[in-house]
Amino acid sequence: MLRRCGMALAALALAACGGSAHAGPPVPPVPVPPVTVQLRIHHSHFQPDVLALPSGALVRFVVTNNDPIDHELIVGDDATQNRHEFGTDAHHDAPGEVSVPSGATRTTEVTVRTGFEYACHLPGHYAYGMKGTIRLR
Amino acid sequence: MRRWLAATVVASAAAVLGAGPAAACGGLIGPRGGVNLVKTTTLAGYHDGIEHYVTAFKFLGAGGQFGSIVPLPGVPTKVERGGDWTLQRLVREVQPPVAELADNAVGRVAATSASAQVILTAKVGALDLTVLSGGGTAVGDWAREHGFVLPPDAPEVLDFYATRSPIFMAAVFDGNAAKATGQQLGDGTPIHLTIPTSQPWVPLRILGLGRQAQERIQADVFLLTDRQPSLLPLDGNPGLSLERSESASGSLLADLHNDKSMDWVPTSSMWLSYLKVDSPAGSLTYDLAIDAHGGARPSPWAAGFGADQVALGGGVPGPATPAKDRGWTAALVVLAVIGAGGGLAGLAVATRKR
Ligand SMILES: [Cu+2]
Repeated sequence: MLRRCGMALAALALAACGGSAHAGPPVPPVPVPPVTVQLRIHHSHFQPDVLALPSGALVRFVVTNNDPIDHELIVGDDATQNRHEFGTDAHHDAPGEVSVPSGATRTTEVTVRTGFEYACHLPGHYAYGMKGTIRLR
Repeated sequence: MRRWLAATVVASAAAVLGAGPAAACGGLIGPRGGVNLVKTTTLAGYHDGIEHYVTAFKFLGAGGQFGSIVPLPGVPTKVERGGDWTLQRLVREVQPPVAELADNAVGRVAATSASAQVILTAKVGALDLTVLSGGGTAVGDWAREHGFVLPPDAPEVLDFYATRSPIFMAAVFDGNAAKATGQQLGDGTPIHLTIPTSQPWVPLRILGLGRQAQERIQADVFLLTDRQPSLLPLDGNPGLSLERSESASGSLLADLHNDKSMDWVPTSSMWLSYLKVDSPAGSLTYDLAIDAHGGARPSPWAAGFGADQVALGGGVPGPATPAKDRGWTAALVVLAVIGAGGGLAGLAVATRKR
């Protein structure tokens, strides 16, 4: 992944150079595909509950809720987690935040950074242990 | 009769008015997971191969609707209003004499199918009761689709019971209807389920549904059996104690026999067991298995023990094929439905396993 990032940065540099040194059309940056992570929700817990991810990587979380109750996936730092744990906002349209109804599969993308974890903050769910750890490498 | 009835009214009211976390037995899940608590009493009677389960919803004054889901050991042949004094009379039987106090105080106290199948419906007072057949997920789906707000531990707890018995009863308590009909704070609506079975068992784990692990769960469980039963677990489980085990008194049996729909109770030769549950919810991971046939072999499987727990629970071998085991279970679960906060409904249920 680091290698892919490096290639993307190189492409951006080329594009910038091309814009100034040549009159031709700019070269579009090479898109970096996100790292895809599959999460399963079972008995109000995430499986797996520990993820090792590249620091700064764009990660696509694909989460499937196998429970007969609704859940959500919130990926973010402490401030984000606290906002959802103690707030009342039920809408999730920010990167890394998605509601996952019973039986559904939902996807969200976010760039993971230091201090991120993933959790569900529906009433009582976090205290029940519905959270996961992100370890950056 | 009036004297003991008055005494238990006092006891019940005290439990409700003083209801805090220490008096937990039934709980109502609020919008943010808060739980209102009340102590609940249940009777599991077993005679001539028929299980009789009696419990009550207590009205705590709130409006709105509240619900409860209870695992059942089998399909009830009858769901009806319970007797008027059975539960109170049982409490009276195991309490110190307080008749004089009561007379003075009473005036001051006011399976695994894809979707759940509805087997039976009944209405008792402000309660709408629905008996369902289905696995944990199917019943959870049904509950969600009918407005129940299930707590986060519900999926695991429903599966815990569904693996033994795919029969549940959902109850919706209409607080507004209760108010309209003049129910007073602490009034209970007794429910009586009649369930044929060969081996009774009582669900205890479900009492902790929706509770924090450290919250105390308290409950009184009475058993009436033809002979002294063998119970599992008891030894080494500080959260469950056998407070009384004795031949039921003639006066008790007569009083119960004379209550509404309680004529199944013999007037002699019955054994009374009185158990107290007083346990952190996180430790209440088992049910009460009963061998009522004198074989002294209560089933670890019926108690909800996994293989590694059997030794801790007494080392009694489980059935070779659990699917063929039979038992009934009684449960107390209160979940929020369409809920405004406050108020509480408590319900116990009997379940049998086929
Ligand atoms: Cu959740």
